[in-house]
Amino acid sequence: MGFVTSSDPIVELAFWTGIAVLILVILMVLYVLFLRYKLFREERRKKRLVEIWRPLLIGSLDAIPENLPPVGRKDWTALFNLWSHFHEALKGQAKESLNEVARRIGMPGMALRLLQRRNARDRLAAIVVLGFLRDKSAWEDIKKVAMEETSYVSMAAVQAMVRIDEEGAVPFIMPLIGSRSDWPVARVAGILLEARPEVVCPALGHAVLHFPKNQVPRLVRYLGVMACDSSTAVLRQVMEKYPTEPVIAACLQSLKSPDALDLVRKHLTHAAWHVRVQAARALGRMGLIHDKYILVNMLSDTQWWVRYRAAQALANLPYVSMDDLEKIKQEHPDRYARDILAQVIAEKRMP
Amino acid sequence: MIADIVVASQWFFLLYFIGMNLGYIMLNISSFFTLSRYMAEHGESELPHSYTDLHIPVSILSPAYNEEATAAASIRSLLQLSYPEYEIIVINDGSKDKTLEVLIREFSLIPFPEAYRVRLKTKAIKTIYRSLQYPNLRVIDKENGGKADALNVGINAARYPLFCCIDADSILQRDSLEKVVQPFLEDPRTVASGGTVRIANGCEVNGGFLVSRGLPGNILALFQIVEYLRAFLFGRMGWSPLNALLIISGAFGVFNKEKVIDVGGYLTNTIGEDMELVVRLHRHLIAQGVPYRITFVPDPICWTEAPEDLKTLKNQRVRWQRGLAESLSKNIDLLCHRKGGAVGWLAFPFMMFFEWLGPIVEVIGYLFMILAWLFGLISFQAMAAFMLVAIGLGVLLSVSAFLLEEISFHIYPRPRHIVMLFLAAIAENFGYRQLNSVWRLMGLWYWARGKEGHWGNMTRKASWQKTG
Repeated sequence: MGFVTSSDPIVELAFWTGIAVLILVILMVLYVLFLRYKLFREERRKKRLVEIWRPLLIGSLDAIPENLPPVGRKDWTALFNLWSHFHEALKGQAKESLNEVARRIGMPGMALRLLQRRNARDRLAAIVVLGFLRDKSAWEDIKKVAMEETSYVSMAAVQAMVRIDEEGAVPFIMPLIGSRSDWPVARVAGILLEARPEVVCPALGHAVLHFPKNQVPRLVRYLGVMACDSSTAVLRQVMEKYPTEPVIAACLQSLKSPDALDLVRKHLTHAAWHVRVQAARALGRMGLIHDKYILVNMLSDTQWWVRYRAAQALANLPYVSMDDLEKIKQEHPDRYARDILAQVIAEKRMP
Repeated sequence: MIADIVVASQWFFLLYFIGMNLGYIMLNISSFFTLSRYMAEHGESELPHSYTDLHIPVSILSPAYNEEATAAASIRSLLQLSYPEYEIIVINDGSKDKTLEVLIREFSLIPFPEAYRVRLKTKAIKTIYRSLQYPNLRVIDKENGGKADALNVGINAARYPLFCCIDADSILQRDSLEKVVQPFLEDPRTVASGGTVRIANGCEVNGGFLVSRGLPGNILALFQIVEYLRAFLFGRMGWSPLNALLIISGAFGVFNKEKVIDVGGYLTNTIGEDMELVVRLHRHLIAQGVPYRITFVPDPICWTEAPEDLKTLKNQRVRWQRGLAESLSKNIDLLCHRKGGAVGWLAFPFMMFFEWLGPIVEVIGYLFMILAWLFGLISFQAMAAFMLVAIGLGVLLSVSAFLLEEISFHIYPRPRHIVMLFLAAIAENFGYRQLNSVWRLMGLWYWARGKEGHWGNMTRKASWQKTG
């Protein structure tokens, strides 16, 4: 204990710092051991739950067992996740059987209770279950969650709403989809695709035309993903209403019908190269043989991507054979055009 | 007079060590909260999810130099990633071994007439190959120009808006790309995101994928596991919420291609091109006043082989320290920049004082205390108390990284692993860390002398790999 009694302040400071550090290390190690013990118990419980419930859920697809085992208080979230995985993988009547099992063991009530908890995992598992169950009694609770700030929870709620009642959900979620820039576009598109196009498309068309201008490029992309019949008419109006580069590029990206060829051709010489790229791509989807010469000219564009997309569009045109492409390549005066055509021809020849 | 200098030096070294470790402890606390929130938010990954056409496609760039032993397995794992749209571009940087021959044979490569676009200046391209088996795989054979030059070639050839750089000897998890791209989907301001790299020694790899996790028998590799836990779980996780992350490992990171081209791509005259790029991105984007995010994803998604012999390890650490010094010195404008925010006012100074110049103080500190005691200038108590603090704080940091691992991913499944790692966390403080400080000091010396950098010659055993 000579250190403790030392009058040297440096030694004292160092000594007591060292002692504090050692105590902290011991506490941390004990906590790690406690966590590992807890994890071990949780995993054992989860394993037991899966061993019991997996065969039961599989069996319920043929006939729902009369006696279903009780679910432990701490097992609900794990059961929710297991049940949701089954639900996701199955189709038709099989889903109904799973729902019946869920109702018999009181899953809807428990999901509503878990929804009120603070733990994010519990809440997410509950939201997914309520969505799959199409439980309308949960509508108002889920609606509240959909407006929460945390994006992953609110998105899960929106998805559940679409599953419960797509017609009721779409008018409610559309303004959220427009305004929530924190929601990943790909995830939102996945949610919209779960609803029927006849429900989503009119609402989306209205939103594209009437929501604030900064939301339009985002919304237009959903219109493209949904492949709405009304898309061309709506996109035509949007392009007239907001002739800005991001909006035009997004619209061109979404156009799929040959009715829109005039719109596409109009933008092939646009000053912004990313608009020209999208116009060339669109022509690749819906172009006609008459578009051949415009595309041949685009092979000399200053931008690599425009040249590449024009060459691809050319190769996709009806009645343009590999021999035609070779001939265009040989006769083209521009080296860059010949190079890009050589690449696209080689790509086409790849197995 | 001498006594005064000795006392002042004692105070300086003691306060330096306490200050440095307090800094790390603060990072640790920040990581604890960030990691807890991340685990709660991404718990949904346990639930089913689907892909749509609107996922951002990614070009994976894998530079290879003399990687004949591991390149094929690594590419096979890349080909099996679960991601809706991606391409793989392997850049053979003039390998002297049979890397190219192995790739041609394993993936049925044929020369391809690609209209290669030069956006970043690089060494000459020899041939571009495409795979007959995998339409999304290309191999570019080029003249040797270093890793940065190879990555720049990959950026030139990349077709997608994001590119992911990965070392040819790394092993990814099937969902790695999906996880590391997540920040780009969640926040459109994201320009770069990096994932956690873990040590594959002791694990078993089959068919390009990690099939079982374990600890290596080699003591150096075991120490490096503890080091990696520290470096990634709080070294990076702690800075990420402050948008002050200065390093994204070259082994696995995703970048916005246009933003990287805007700042000139990878710098070819530096040895730490991965860190330098991230620091430069910060510097440029701050100067331009562009809102941006550089993010870290804590999931253990990339596995790499650690050196198991002192010579290779020494070379690696010398190279890393030189890379760090070059990255910071080339971007010194970021230090306390008017608009620098957390990165300019916290992360950069911290990195400069404790990581860049740290080895000088650490080595001199240890030597001073031992010599001062040997020459009777300080008491044994003073020397022992100093060692208790320096080593105790080191153990504390290692154990706290271990705790972060336990509250999050608990990668190592067996109780024996916990005991081994705990013992390693203590043992590495007796010699290994001090040795590292000496190597880092050598790195600083080489940097100061301006010695030319080159690809590191890593002796790869790949003993953990089995053919699939």
